[in-house]
Amino acid sequence: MYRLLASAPEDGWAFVQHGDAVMVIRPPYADWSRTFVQPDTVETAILQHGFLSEDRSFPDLASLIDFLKEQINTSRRARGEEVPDAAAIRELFHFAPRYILTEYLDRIKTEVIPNREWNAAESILTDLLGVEIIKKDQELYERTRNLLIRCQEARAEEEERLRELVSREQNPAQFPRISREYGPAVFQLQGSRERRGSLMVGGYG
Amino acid sequence: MIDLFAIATENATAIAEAFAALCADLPPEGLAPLVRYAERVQETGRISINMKQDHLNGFLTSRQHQNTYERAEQTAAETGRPREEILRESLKAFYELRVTFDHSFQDGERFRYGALNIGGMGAITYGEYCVVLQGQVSSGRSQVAYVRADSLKTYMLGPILNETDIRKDATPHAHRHHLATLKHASDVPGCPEDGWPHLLCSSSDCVETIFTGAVSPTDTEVVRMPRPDYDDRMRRALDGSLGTAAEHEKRLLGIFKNVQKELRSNRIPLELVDHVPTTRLGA
Repeated sequence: MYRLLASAPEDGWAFVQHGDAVMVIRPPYADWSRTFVQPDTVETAILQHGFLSEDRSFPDLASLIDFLKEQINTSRRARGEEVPDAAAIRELFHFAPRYILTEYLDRIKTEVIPNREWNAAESILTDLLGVEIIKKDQELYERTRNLLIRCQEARAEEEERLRELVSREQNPAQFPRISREYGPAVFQLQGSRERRGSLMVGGYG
Repeated sequence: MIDLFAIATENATAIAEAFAALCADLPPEGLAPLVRYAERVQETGRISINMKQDHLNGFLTSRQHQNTYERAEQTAAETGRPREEILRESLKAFYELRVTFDHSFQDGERFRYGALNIGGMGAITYGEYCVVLQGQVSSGRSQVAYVRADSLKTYMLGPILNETDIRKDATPHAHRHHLATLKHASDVPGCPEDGWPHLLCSSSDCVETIFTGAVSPTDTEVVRMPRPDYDDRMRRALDGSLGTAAEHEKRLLGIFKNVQKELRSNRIPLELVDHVPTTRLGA
């Protein structure tokens, strides 16, 4: 049982009692962001640091954390705050230090591009090219630019492959035996079946 | 009602004499670290206030620090609810303690509470940002007093103020290093010098600073933040950009971005602290 003793809803912070231990829980709710404290710090948190006095219990840590996450949303909605969109969050790139920018590029290379998230990757890389640290660092700038080129090339290759596929389906000359045996109408049939999720061309003959 | 700042001023000689008496009784090898500690506090001691992200964002954007009463007054003005009702609701069982202490002093509702700080993250349990005020904030105003520890825990005997002890301990700015050294006289010799900031100011103990008057972002010397928190938020900015972050993460990233913007536009340095001495889960 986890007993919520005090909270700061807008920030998702909480003083929580579990057995004899009292701890502070805060975003991102990882092990490293959980700290054991003396029980009398709860009083100081309320009296001097603006925490709200609370008294409610949760069966497990996961349900308590879910509650805190939702508290962040509800308290900020109540203030009329909008959820920041991707473009607004991307402004943070301009404050990121070099080692974080390098990590962004690593993740774009190893996760975002292989996942074929072309639009997101191109948009992020284009924004990164405008970041002052990257603009002034030739190595980082080249790396960002090369990733953007690689992303555009990969997208172009993908689009070409799709175009070829469509073109093949629409060209009976690619499949002369099928065309001869079943007539050109079979390709229209195949197209309509594919759209429904099944592929039936040819057979055992 | 008690004039805390007048008492502190009157105590100057007594505190200095107590420090001199402490030093006089020590052998040279015991004296040296205490003198170095006192000098460090005198030279680098600043007022710090730990703030959570929302509090810091409010401080930077509204350009003013608000204490408990000022926050309640603002909420009262916005909602039309009585200020006392808001105070009672937020403090609940602790309302009487807070109000009894503050109302025992002249200008008690104008008190701001901070901690004497010579480095490190301060009272990180209450906020991941340690806002360090410029030296002139404390040296340049008359209404500043330092007491041995958290005033409510130290000088309240249940619902009653321990007037004798606070009258004895209240110290003016010019002698804050004497108070800190008297408090930590037995700890300093066995503590490595890089542990002195944590000895002086942590989540569990501090030399408390009580002061009045407006405080704005222009009074800020530096803001410190633990590097793990900073790195985590910066890394999540990519998830936020990819649309894979949860709603609460996006909201916190939005505030984090605003804090970064405000710090930059106010030319307040953000210092990342690698080592934060606290007890972590599983440590």
